[in-house]
Amino acid sequence: MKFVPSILDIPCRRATELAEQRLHSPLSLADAVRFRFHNSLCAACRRYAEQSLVIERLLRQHTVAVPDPLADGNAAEALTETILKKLP
Amino acid sequence: MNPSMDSRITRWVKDHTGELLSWAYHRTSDLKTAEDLVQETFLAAVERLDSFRSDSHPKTWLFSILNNKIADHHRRGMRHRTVPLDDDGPSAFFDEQGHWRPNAAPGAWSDDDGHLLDDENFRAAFLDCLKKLPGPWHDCLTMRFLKDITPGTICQELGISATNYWQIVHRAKLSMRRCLQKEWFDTE
Repeated sequence: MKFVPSILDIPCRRATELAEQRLHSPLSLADAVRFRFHNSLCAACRRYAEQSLVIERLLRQHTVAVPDPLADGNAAEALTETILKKLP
Repeated sequence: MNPSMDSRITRWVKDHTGELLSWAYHRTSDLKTAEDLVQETFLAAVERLDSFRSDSHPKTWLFSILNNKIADHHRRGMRHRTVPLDDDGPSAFFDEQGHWRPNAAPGAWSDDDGHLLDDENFRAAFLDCLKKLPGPWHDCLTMRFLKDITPGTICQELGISATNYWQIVHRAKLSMRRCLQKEWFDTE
């Protein structure tokens, strides 16, 4: 990206960091412009940002909908018994 | 232990084991670990019963003990499951100028029918990749989605600074992406 004004010129490493940060809080205006500008020219970082979003969805699904072995209360009940036996 | 202390602890075990277990499970993603931590919590509570002030709430007190146990657990994971950042840091993905190394640049992910996220096999591949991450990376990625947990809290629990936290998220995502590319998309 030879002709890019230096103020906009960020490396892929930075562009991918920004791709992560923007998932959690809005980027500063300058960073948002840099990010969009970089990605408009860089297919690899564009893919990264899209794929990062896919991974983010998977992580959210996984964490929020963790198959909950505690749902029926059996595990908690069994543990309560175990602990009561172990108490001095 | 005198009888009144005894019955007090017994009541706490009956009243709070469920909630403590649920919390520990969501914080560690592992039932066995969570059960061990809750057991340790009650054993520690028995030992420290003298330091329990009767004007404080037992639940709060038990949770504070449990949270310390969880923090210890995560710190242990930090020591034992840490990948040396020098060997496998972002420099594995980016060159000195910060550009993608040729073999590290993301390839296309095909999702022809748009149902990738519903594909059981893909989800399984995702979980395999998630399990391969070093402990702190795994925790950084997953714990962000739990209620009432902010990145700041996670950092505190893991004993890492905020900058380091973002570096870890970035690094962990790079790993996850590479793993999915290799295990799923490139083998299709």
